[in-house]
Amino acid sequence: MKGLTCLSAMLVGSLLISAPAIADPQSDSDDVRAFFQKRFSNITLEDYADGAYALNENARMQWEEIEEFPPYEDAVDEGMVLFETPFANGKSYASCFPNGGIGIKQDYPKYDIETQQVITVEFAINQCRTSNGETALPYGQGELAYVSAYMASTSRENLINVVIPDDDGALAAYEAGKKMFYERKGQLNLACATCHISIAGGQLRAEITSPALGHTTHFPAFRFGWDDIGTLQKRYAGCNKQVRAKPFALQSEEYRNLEYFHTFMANGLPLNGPGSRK
Amino acid sequence: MTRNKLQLLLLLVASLAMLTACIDSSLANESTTSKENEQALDIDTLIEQAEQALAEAGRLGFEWSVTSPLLEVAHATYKAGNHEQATALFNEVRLQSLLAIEQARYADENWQMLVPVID
Ligand code: HEC
Repeated sequence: MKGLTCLSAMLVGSLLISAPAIADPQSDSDDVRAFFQKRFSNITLEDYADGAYALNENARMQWEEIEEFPPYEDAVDEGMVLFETPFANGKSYASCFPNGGIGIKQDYPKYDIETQQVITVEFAINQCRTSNGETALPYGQGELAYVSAYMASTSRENLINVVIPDDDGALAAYEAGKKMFYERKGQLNLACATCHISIAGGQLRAEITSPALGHTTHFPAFRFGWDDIGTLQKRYAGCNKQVRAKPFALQSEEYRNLEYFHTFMANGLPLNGPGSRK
Repeated sequence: MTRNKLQLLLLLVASLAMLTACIDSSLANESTTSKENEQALDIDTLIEQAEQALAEAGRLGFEWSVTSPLLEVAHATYKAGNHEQATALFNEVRLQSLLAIEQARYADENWQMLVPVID
């Protein structure tokens, strides 16, 4: 009986939620922006590239001081050396990317129609390695993050331009990422959207939660908590763990789809990575 | 409050009530079965159920990070010969996994509730 009540209540519930039948990424993004614009009417779209520091003057001043002697500089230098060092077969990273890998980060993640999957910069770096007979590198930090940081540094100030091609697979990948962003998870039963949309700008323990808009502009980022440069997906895993949800593997299909949705939202914002964060 | 917002709020309250009711009722069933488990179910069956539920939560992408470490503790406790404590632990693994599975089902139907509404 109770089961029946639940079932019918859910049926009514699902009728009430008039989900748009066709995904419309552009209007999704417009809605998120309108939401934030209303909540934080004193900051501009570009300011979102600075995360929580756009919302708090004190935190911002401390951060600007740190950025005067960027803690990620060594990582970028090392990334450049790695990027330019040829593989054993004589080829290099440059051979795998458009424009030799310079100034291209704004176009990622990309959807590859042929293999029907989302390609992030980090995923492409390892694809490049393995297709040239090198071993794949760990995705969270270390050499791969340095190479990615160098590539990001050559793309500074370029405007994010993620494209969702007119392809069912591409839209499905975007939708899967979107769903993941809004799903409550973990023992604490919280969604990305809870902290980074609903209560964004609020204080969570010692931290101000940043708006989801602009999250992806400055990665890989140096975090004092990591004492190193780390990738965006390392942060995803960290946020999953915070709510006691088991994280997905870095560069799994799930996280790449999430990054696709998450970055599309930031289209038009300037890249400013690598950045530093507490 | 605009009509849209009111509708959303009502929906939110209704869904929360619904979720609680549904989880409560499934947990009520759980706790009777778990009592039964402690007495009647042999521990091997309980372990199998716990591990199956955990695998299902994982397959759905909703496994909690605390559950599999708990399973390890449960196995170690069992090995050490403390069957009563082990039973309680395996049962907790099973319950956490069932909640995670319920969470996946709930998310599947209600994830759009957190999408910002513009009016
Ligand atoms: C319990 C609240 C909470 C949840 C849920 C959560 N995060 Fe976070 N997240 C934080 C906090 C706190 C920080 C650090 C302060 C900040 O920058 O927001 C953070 C930081 C981040 C950052 C870095 C922001 C920056 O400017 O460098 C990203 C990216 C991020 N989260 C993405 C996500 C994603 C994606 C999810 C869902 C998988 C998620 N978070 C879920 C609380 C949360």
